[in-house]
Amino acid sequence: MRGLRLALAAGCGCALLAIAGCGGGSSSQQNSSNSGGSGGGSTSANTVAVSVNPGPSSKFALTNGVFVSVTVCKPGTSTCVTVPDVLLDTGSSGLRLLSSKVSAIGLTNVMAGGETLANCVQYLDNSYNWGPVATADVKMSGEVASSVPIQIIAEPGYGFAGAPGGCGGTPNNTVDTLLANGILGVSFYPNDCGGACAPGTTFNPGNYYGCAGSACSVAEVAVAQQLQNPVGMFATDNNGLMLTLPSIAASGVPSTSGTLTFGIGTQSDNALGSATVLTPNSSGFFATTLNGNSTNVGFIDSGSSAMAFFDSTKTGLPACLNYTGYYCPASVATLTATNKGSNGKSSTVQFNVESADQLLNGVNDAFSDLGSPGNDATFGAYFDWGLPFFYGRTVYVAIENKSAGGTTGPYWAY
Amino acid sequence: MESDSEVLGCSENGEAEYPQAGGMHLEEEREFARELLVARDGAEMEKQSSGRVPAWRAAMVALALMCICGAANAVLGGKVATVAADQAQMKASLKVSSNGRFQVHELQADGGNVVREFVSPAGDVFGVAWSGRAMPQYSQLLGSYTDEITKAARTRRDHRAPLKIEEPGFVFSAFGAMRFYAGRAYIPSKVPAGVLPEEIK
Repeated sequence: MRGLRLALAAGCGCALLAIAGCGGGSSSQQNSSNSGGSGGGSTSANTVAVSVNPGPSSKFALTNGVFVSVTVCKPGTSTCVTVPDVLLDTGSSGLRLLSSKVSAIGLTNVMAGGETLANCVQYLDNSYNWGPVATADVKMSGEVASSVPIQIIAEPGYGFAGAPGGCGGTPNNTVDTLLANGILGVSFYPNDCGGACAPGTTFNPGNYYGCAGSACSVAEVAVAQQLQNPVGMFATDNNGLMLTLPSIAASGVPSTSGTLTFGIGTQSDNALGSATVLTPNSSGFFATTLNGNSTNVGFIDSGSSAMAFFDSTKTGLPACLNYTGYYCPASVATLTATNKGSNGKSSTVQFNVESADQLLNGVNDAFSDLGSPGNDATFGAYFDWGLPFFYGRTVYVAIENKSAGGTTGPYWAY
Repeated sequence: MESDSEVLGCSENGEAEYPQAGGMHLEEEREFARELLVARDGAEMEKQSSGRVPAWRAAMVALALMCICGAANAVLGGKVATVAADQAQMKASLKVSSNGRFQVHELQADGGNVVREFVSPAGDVFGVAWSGRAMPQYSQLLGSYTDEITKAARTRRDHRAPLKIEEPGFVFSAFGAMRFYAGRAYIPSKVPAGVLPEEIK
């Protein structure tokens, strides 16, 4: 398995040559021998540009996907590759990259107890990402995180071609199914699972597997060996981040750009200022109330395309006829919701919802007013503040157990 | 013996539980073929176990089959005996309660994961609900109905997102993020008369 990958890397002869013609075939891959993260769109030492656009798939557009470039290197070396179009996700933790985008640099898999460590992440729509864990130095702007465990999605070698039975559904193992070259999970959790997946757990959710050849079984993995939020491992500015997106036109725009800033209260450009800090409960949520309907499952997730909340019977917003899974009010609906953190602080948010059948029926891809019925009225409710919430705002995410701007994470602030 | 054969029925619903071969990637096809073979082996075992099967043996075979073919012990839409497969998969404790109109088989695993399985007087599992630290294994809990989730996901413009399905034959709703997930599913045609959807939670 590892031998195969090393052979591939050697065969490509990529060390100092243009990589475009080998391995991933992405013209935007490049070898980087500097530590500045070329292609990262850096504007200062702790900021990178982000872009909302349809994404890297030539077949399918990702609606409201916010992308960054991430440079990964063989640990301690200048053998690097910059992967563009990585989805920035405040709703997960850990860096996951398609194997085809990093195979040229030959990262080394993590071994545990003589077995290759692999990771499975399941999504609510019964899709998944599966692949081995490898370590890489992760560089964005001037920030460097050394030897970060990351997931290599869809490693082609023996043992990883098929996921084990416990990791099932539809694989997001290509650009056309992932609709990104990878996912950069930067939630307030420093790792993707924590104690539940570690030795001594009483209930292992099964995120990790040990693989001997093609035989993989659920494994307990020390927290430090699990996928890590790279931001938490940066040498500096590692207590969180802020994401700033501009306001956009009500009917949406084809694309837009913004700024991802690392650290909170660590530099002159990342002060918390007067933002309202909302701390999560033990399950990771705040409370949200809308028109007398309330839920204890409120969260902010840049990886969600819409604001998903309650359902038509609670909101009065009709579901769409064409684009199922979204709201389609006859005219623009202006709503007001209140988020309240476990710290007792609350914030009122006014937002609009427009007909998704109209919004999505054009050339635009970035929308601030895309809404979705989240669940049915006879079952539990939630409020997912997806990417539409981020337009015209700066949203802060502070990492668990790290002091950030006078408050210890985890928290959201905006 | 009906309940025993239900427990043993690794392949009973197996054929329907796998995605259609068309459109699968090569690696999926290989996996599909492998699982199908295993499922057929399971069917073979079932044929060979003639006569009465002791409960302990049924349970052991069920466990073994579950390890091999995982998805094949569909519980939603199955008979009450299939709850045992979920209990084993979750390593959970089981508590059964009844309100006269239906039974609730509550599986409680360490770490706070709970699955409730709703059983009609006819012995059918007509609904399931879950909450806790991890998503349940859909294929284990929902069996062939998992395909409905995959189909619904294909019609969606967003990806990896929570889904709600309201079809005449299958109702599904699931949500959560990172370290908490909840959801429920039921089969309207199997819900006993007088039981309201909001009771399935």
